[in-house]
Amino acid sequence: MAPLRMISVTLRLGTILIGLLFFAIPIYASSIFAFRESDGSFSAQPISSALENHELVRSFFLTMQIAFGTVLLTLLLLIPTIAYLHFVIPGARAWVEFLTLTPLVIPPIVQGVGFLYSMPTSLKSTPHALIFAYTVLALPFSYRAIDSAFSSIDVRTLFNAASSLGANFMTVVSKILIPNVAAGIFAAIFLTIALVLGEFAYASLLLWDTFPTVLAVAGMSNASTAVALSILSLIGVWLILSALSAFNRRSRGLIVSGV
Amino acid sequence: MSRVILEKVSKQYGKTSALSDFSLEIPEGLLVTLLGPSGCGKTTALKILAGLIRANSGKVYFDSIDVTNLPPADRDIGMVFQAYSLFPNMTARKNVEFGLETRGVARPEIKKRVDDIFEVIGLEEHQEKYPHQLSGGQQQRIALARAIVIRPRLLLLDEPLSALDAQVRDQLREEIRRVQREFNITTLFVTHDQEEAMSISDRVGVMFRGALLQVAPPQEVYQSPINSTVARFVGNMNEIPAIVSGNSVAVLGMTLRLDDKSSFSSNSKKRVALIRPEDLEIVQPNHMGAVGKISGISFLGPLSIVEVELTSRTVVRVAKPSQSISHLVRGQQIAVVTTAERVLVGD
Repeated sequence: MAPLRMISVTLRLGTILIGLLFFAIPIYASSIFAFRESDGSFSAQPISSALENHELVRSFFLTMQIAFGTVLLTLLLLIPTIAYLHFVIPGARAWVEFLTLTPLVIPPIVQGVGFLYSMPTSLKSTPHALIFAYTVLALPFSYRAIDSAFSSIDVRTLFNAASSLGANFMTVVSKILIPNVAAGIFAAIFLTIALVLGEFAYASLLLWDTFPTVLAVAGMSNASTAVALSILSLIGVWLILSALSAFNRRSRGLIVSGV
Repeated sequence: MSRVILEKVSKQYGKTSALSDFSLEIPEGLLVTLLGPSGCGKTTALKILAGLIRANSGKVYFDSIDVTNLPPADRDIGMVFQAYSLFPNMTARKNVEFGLETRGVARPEIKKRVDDIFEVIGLEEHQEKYPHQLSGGQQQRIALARAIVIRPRLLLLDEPLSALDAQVRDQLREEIRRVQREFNITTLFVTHDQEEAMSISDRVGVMFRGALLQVAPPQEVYQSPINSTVARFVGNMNEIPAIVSGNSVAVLGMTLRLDDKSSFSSNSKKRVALIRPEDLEIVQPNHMGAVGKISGISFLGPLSIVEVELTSRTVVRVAKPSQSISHLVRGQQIAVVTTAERVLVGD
């Protein structure tokens, strides 16, 4: 048994190590490329030049606004819809799930043009119109995350149990349903933010200067700055993920693996 | 505590009738069980009482107050479900406090009541655990505590034991009965398990295809079923072809004189004698009775079931104390007899 156990542990550790290297090597290489000076020393110069690039900073804050709006719209749209599907018409779930997959199969150029034609003129003049496009684009991920959270609990029984104990609709939603699907909601938020922070095709097609498009342009003139910012974005995303995961664990009182 | 009445309640799902003209009275402080096969409408009746579904017609009264159109939150009921229904995001204690908080009970009173109820169910040391840290039996006991801590007018139990293993089920069944008596709560229990219904109830209501066939104390339902459907559903029955003539029946090679209650009215010409396994006797084949051969013996602890294949090819089961049949062997020729008062005739 002992040798078998040793082989199993070695295989497990080996797999983890390969996984770590898979992520670590490109980040390490990018860091060397971005932060190493010609004399071999390291410097944060690329970061400070990025912060001096007002266009880049402005586009970052604009993108964060769009991300916030997209998250808000996604949650407002999906939580009641998914709750309704689970509670009232569970038979329609498969159809809605199919519908949410369409952004993955329709090319961005088709979606972009369709989006332009379908938007009211007043919205076309503002980059915040991207909120609507990104909400649709994030559907395959955000819908699945929230839907699987709802599937993991017995919505109907919990609803009935709370109602029988005297809770009104709003109490049931705020104290029972939302906390129990929090893991899925956090996952949807994270995936939506990640998508908005990295989305290039739509913004570029619709000629809006968001963080990814400005970063691409900046990269053409100063590659090390662009790479440094990419690394910072990655670290930022990791921090968000860890914070959400920690918050989710505390709110549920459970150990949840990942978000 | 309330007297609860369902009056001529009907419920249809599309073209399917789940309940038709269903009437039931649960006297104050009693535990009434609705017993019936799956799909007979017992859970529908319970949900209508809870206000979780609306009846198409009929009325629901709690102490002569019409609550037919009241939502569940305003009915003052406690409910335990078949599925584990503790709120996963709350500890056991928070779950029990939930109903009191929604009712706006003062904090000191909540603390006192919750402490008391945990003592009653004997789970004081598990108060701060989350549902996933509790066993199925513990979860259902907490759910029971959560339902009764609010001192409901009516306690509804929707097959709360069906997901538990046999030993835990027996323990919890006794606990439900003890707590129900201690708090004197009017209770409706829904189950398809006859043993459960018989052991826990003050009265058993037998349901079949959306109708309530008989409501009576468990012993009466078992010994004096109102019709052949109830007789067949409650307990085990041997069904032996019989010939009825006037008020006598020819069965097992004997002619027995029946009283009025023993024969269920029917237009059918094909009649059967319904005899419980414990109401058959095994005798030597040279006696009167139907001759047959023992085709199997099943040992069930204190009782054993002897399976006898009669010469007419009918197979009957005879239940006897294990000690009294130790001399019988498979393949042995014997005869089976009964007495008139143990025979029911149906179709």
